[in-house]
Amino acid sequence: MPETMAMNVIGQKDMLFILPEIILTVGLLAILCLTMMTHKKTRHENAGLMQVSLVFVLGSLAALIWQFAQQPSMEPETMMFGALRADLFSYVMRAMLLAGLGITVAISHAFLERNTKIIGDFYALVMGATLGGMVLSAANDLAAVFIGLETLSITSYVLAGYLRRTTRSAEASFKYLVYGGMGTAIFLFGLSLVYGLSGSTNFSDIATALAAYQGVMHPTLLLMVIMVFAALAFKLSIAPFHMWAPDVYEGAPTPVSAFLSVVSKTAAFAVTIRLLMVIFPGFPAWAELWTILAVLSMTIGNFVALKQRNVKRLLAYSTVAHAGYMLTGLVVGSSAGVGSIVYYLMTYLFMNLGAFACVIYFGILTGSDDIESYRGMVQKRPGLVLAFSIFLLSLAGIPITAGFFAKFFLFQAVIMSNPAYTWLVIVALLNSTVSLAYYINIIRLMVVKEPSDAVNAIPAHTSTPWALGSALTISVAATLLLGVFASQFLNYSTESVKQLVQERPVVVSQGLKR
Amino acid sequence: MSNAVQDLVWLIPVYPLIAFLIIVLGRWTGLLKPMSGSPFVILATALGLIHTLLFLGNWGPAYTAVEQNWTWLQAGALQLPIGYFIDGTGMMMLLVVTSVSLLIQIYTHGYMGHDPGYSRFYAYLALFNFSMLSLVLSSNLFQMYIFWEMVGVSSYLLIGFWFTRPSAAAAATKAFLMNRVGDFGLLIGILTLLYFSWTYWQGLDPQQLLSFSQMDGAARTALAAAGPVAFTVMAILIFMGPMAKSAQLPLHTWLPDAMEGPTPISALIHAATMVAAGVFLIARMYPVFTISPNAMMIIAWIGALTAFVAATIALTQVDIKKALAYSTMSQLGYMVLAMGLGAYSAGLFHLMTHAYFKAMLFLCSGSVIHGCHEEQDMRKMGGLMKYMPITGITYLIGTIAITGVLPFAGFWSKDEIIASAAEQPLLFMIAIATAAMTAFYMFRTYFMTFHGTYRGHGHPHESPKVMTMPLAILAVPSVILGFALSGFFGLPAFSQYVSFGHAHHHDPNLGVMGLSILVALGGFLVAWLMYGQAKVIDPARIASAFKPVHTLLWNKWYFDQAYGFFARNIYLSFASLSAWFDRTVIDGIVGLTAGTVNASGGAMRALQNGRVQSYLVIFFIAVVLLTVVLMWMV
Repeated sequence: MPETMAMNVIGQKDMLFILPEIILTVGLLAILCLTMMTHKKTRHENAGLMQVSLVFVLGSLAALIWQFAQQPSMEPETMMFGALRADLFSYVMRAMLLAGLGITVAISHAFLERNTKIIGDFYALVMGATLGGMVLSAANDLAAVFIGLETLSITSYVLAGYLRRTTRSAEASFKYLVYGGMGTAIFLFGLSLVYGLSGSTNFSDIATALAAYQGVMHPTLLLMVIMVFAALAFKLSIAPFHMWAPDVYEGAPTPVSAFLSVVSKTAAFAVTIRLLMVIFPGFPAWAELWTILAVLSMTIGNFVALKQRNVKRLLAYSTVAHAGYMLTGLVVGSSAGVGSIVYYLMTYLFMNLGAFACVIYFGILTGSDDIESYRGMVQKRPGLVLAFSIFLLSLAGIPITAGFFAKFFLFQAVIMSNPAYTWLVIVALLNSTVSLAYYINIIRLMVVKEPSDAVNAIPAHTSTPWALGSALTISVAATLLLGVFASQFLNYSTESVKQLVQERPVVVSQGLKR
Repeated sequence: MSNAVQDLVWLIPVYPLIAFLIIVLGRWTGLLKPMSGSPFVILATALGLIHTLLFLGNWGPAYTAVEQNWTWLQAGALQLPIGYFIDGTGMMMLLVVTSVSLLIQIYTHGYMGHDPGYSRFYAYLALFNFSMLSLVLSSNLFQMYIFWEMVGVSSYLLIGFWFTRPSAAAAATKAFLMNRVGDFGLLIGILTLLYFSWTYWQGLDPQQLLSFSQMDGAARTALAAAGPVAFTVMAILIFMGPMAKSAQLPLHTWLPDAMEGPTPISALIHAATMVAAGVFLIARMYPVFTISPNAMMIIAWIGALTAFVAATIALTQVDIKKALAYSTMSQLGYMVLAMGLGAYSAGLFHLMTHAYFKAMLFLCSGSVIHGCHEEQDMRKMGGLMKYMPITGITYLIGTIAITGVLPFAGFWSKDEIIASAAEQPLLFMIAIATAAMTAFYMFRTYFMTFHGTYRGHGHPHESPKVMTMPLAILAVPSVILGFALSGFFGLPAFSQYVSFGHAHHHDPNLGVMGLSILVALGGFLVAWLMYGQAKVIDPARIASAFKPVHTLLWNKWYFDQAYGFFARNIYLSFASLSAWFDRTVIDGIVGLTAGTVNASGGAMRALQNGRVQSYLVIFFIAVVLLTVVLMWMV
């Protein structure tokens, strides 16, 4: 692949490309300064911090969209000396990360205000983590990948321990740190093997160098792939690398769990897809690797979720299962299959963040994350119960929610790309049938008569905080409409992946060629 | 005029959708008072009925199918269309759904008049109507699947309407879950069909993807591509959808439980419309089923067994709604049997007549329950004919209709089904035996409820006019519909309008007719001897004489127990096993820990017991294992 970058200065183009990141960084610093300047930590000041954060996040998103609108043809181009790559995929993924960040900021305020005095740092940290994720989504160089991943990870460790006075939060942070350190070590080892075999850190060069090994089966190659992807599987919370997720999700502050389950996971998927599509095309063991991980994830995630009593733990296992579904797209590796993952991530962003928003609000109302404590909630908060039910049904994949369309397009793409994997789709659909049992159990408890003591204690009329309310409204609308009006989103998803595929020697899969 | 009626036929489901939105928004903004909203829904349904009738009137003499498609979603090469398709079968369903819905919605005003959830109930009814009518109008399989699931969701809401009752919430959950099992098969079936017939669809206008009008060629392409065995498996997977929705064995146990919902729902959804959607889907996918003889045979047998098993269970039921529910299941079994035998018109004819008389029977039961102060146990009823004559007479008409006595509706349609089974002795015997049992259990419910002396509490009273009027109207088709479309005496035959392939009318099989009337009379006679005025035979003695059989039937063939056993011992064990694997094994492998961790035990304890270390060891083991396994696999 010939390198188009020959400049040795950072030009205007490069600056414009990372304009969203620049805005976010400025926002991050501004929040830190504002936090230092506001000593009293009054309600008013705290709300102001949240509003400022939102302004910067939305500004960053607007800059991204503006940049995107400037280039209708969207010719892929490397930026920053080849460290980043401006292509459709990078825009789509970064837009999703920013949307996820915006919702996270909006839904976390009520929780933070209740549980801690220091609010500004939280916003700075989630913005920093997202920054890492954005670099990761556009990375075109192993060094950029590593920097992005570490920025995301280290801020996440801090976030998990944000309520440092509660032991469970501290425990979650520590576990995450130790496990994450291990992941990083293995990842680096894998990357060093990549460098050793290819002699470059640039994706295009690596792809060219590794093409020589295509079809060759060598233990070093296999170890390299497994090490790189084991570390990513940890970020994606794919079984058997998911052990940390339930503990961390349960222990961490709920907004952090929401952030980890969506934004962190989306970023990890972005880099996984890019590595797979650009560097390791047609690698002999990849389909088998992802098949094993997909089946393990779906089955363990869903069946263990059946036994959970804590809603955050339950959602942790549910995200493990969802990662498993998405992997089926990687198994076939076609642009339709992988493109469906991107679409799946879009829908997952809203439905999972929406579900977490409800958990946050219910947690504030009842002071508990036990599913039992939601008993009879419908009598106090019917609207919220309706919203939560929509998110849960979407997670279970019931039409006409977006969750259904995401699953349909994904599984349809899998069967069309390679019918030999019909059995995998059957396993996935059986699993989603199982999943309905625990999702619907929450709905059932919320609507049965005898309210729990916690629900009884809820005052009849308290107004929902506006940020949480609007984030919920947006999530409900997206969950209901993203499926029915899927065409444009699907188009972006598939096109963005197609562009990645064009970069590499085409591996013809059986069945239909798209 | 006629063009406008045809072009705007998609409005039929939109009317109730608008009514639904009006109620939801009205209640939200407070513009609508709590006990209002019903006029919008009733008006919407009436509009739908009028539109349907106008369409029928302007259809023209040939009754050629009308189809229109638009592109809905585009995903790469896959274009999913949305549209409407109306042929004889679709028109029949439209008529049934709009007319039965309208009457039931009027009835509901009387039945739910004092329920605090009145508006919500009407909103759900409108949502259901929208989904059901959209399902009927669907021009392609994917679209139908979407609305197929949406009627499931509306049904979930309506069964769980009295959600404050734990039993209602449990029944709604069960119905939803069991339908998902069927829909899982249906979705896999759709995906495999799409794969096998892909080359065929590519040769067509993309807006016709999976359209029913082109299903014939798709089926043949798929058969050629898949081979007979895989094709049969695919057909059975598709059939799993109807199996759950139309309550066929073994996915039937949700239907009796669904009677927890308010009675108008039982009449509308669980007797007349939604459960019949399964049969409708079989009809729409008929090109796929007919070219697989094995699939047809399996369908016929499942239908026959369902009809038989359900009828036997109905023999011992004491809850009036449960008895009718098993009766519905049994009659649906007849329809599925007919479809499996290739008797397309007969199956759908029975669907139509059954929709009217079973809706009426359910509404009668609602009137009875209402009049007896929310009592459902038939042992605490009796002698009601004196107190509620209109309900009693209409119930009797419904009973005669379902029993299959000349010239009532059920006779003509059921008889065609039994006649079509004439060439398969075993199926024929099952069908005849079921007919005898049907006569027995239906007259049993009639005698127990309306004859003898009143055994309940309080004073039973006739229901208000708003409830009895729909009963009287529904009695009309229950009496004449069969005869009017029987094809006798120069009258039109149902199969002229609703048929698969070329219309053919069977000559009446007089022998079968005579036999079925005989067994119906036999069933009636036994019921009269046991439960009528005479009480010649004591039911308790029969029960004790056939104790094992009675126990089996009383326990509904132990299906629920078997599923309960499965859920408790296998399903949840697997969940426990997974949870155990997820936690304990890991600690066990490492051998560093003893006992489980108290989650609130604080950071240090959790770390000291080796949990985190064990995670790390698992990480390593997984990497090594994956490497080894992949080395060996590749």
